[in-house]
Amino acid sequence: MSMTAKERMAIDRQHMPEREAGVRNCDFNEVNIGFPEQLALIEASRCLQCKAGKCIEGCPVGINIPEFMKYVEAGDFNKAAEVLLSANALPGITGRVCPQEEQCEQVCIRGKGKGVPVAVGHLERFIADWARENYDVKQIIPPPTGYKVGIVGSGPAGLTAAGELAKMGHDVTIFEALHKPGGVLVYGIPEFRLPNKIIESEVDRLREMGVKIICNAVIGRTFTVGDLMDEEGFHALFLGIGAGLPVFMNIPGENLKGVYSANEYLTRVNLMGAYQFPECDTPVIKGKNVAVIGGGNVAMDAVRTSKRLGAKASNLIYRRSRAEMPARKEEVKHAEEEGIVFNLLCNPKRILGNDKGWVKGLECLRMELGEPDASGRRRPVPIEGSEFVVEADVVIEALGAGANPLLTSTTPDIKLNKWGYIEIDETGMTTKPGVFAGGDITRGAATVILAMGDGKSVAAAMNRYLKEKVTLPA
Amino acid sequence: MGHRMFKILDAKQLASDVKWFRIDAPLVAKHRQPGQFIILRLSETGERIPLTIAHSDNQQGFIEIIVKAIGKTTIELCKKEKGDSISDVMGPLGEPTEIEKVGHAVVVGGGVGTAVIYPLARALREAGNYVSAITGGRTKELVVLEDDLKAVSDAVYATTDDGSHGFKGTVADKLRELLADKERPVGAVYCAGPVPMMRAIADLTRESGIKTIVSLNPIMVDGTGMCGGCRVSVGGKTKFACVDGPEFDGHEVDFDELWDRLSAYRDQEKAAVDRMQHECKCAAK
Repeated sequence: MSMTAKERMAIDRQHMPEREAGVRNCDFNEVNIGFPEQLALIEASRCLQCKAGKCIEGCPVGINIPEFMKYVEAGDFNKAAEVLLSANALPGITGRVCPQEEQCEQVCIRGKGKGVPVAVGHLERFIADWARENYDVKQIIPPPTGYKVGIVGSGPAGLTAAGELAKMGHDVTIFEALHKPGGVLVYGIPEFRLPNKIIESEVDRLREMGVKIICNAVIGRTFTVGDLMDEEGFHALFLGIGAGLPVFMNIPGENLKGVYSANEYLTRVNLMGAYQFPECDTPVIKGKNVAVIGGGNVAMDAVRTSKRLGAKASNLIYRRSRAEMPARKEEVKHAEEEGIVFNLLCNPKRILGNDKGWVKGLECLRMELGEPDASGRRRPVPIEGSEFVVEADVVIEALGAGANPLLTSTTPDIKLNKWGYIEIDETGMTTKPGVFAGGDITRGAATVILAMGDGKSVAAAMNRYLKEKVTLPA
Repeated sequence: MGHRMFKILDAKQLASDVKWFRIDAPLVAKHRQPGQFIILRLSETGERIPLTIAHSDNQQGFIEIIVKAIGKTTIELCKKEKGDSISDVMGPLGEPTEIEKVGHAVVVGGGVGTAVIYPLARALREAGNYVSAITGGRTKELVVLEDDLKAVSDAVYATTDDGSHGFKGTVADKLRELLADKERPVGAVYCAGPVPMMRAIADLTRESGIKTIVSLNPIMVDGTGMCGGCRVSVGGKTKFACVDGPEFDGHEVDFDELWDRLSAYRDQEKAAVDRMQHECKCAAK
């Protein structure tokens, strides 16, 4: 059983099977297939169980990765699942959407020099999928504490906080504005990257842990934060409401028919199932020539979605060069394999319409890279007179998101920064006692795993707050 | 598991294709104010559509809506009866109407737009205004809520294009008469209905500068400001009707753009209705 380090070093990283590009770009089934058990066992044995254990620090939710690897290698998937779930309530999700190459895998000792890190993410996904069928989560729930905690928003931050607080024995209720829990995981991230059934099963596991979920409840309208604290009897709240306000470029032609924010386009397709129209009632304009503006993960999701909806040409329009693209490398690679055309160093100037009010093209300017800007990336500078038109009947703007004021406009006692995001102290508490926040609404649009990291650390702070500051009636 | 359905407590046909519903939705009723709306979804495969709350009761925990059967979802909804359920009802959404004392307030409703102005009439009158209500339709059958309006207004004028009931002409024609009445100058106009009608009303009051509030009905998806699909141009600026509205200054709204954007899914909407009717015929055979 026990291998030497040298033997471990001799094993190459196992490749996770994925569906062929020319097949998968026609449907919405998942791109990656996942490790078969045999490959998982081999891949886990590549871990050297090094003393440094830098991967644990590299993980925003602090999973004990070496211990996890030890159990996977030994084939003790139940123990591996316990290690995983004790640190991370949503491993099926993070195993699929975390940028592991910038986190645990980046600091893995196997990745030093010419080496290749252990496929932590793929193994996380493997065990999460195993646990979904085989692991009973009730074994890690303690007796009730009597504290009642509310979670506003069921995105990655809220679901994680809910899971953590339930594991501490608190009575947890999640409020979700939409009809289905998951937040950006269900409305934003496409089915082919993160199937809705995975989210549903992670949410079901939270329910098994005793978490209650109330959908169709818009905090700020249906209830205010004050109502929840003063009338509904919550001892503490976690606000994980995300950055859900689409940013538009404010260029001419944005209100033509066929122009979408990425949020709207992806919501129609992912949450509402428009790719199944007319079986699902919500339509989406599919487009023969689709132009997606942006270079982040959301832009990749939108442009890859357009291809699957049957676009002849799916163009990505990005004003900087490939090196500055904020999207995950895997997403960029998958997009290229699937036939997405990258128009780099191009900036849209205006959207052109026909006499019926429909989009017919996107006029762009060519750019060149100048001096670095505040973000450290080289600033794109327009080349004068370089205008050209990209033919398009659908234009999608994926330019990031801002803070949605729907909740915060009803809470004058919660202080915001100048961009409208919620200010928190080092524990995650807002300026309103007992009300905590985390995820994109405190940090600006970021990643799923950073939001989950917030959900986890803030949940721990909430637990301390409840025990130290809130006295329950005897 | 555990998904709460919303039960229809009562239903009543108001015209051949217009129906009134009372729905059990205590969380929506609790904080609802005039001018606000809900988004509902009939089933797992359903679309999300916005509908104005015509009335609500916090004590009894219900809301009331009035629906005209025009698209697939509204046709399906109008087939529902007392005791049936709706998968999702979310709200209350939108900014409530600013209810002020303006002296003589005129509320103008076209067709089911009357469901929007009915709660306004009630609130404006409770605020001490003299309320005139104009409710119109193409023909007698399409004039809705006339009796309900009588209970909450000082004067009610029904209009029909064909003269089959009340005043013969449009709601704009009637408003023109009221504006000409020097005895009782109009302080503000609140209006809801088809886009051409709202535009006609706004045009009528533009010159005199009488405050004219219109309740807009663009296509929406989430209703929380997340998607931007309901964007409208108001005074040259882009606004989201779901969170900034649904009510705006009628003199500032770009009605042409609104009207055009409402047509974006016309082909799909028609295909969905045709498909449903075909299925119904097949099922009947």
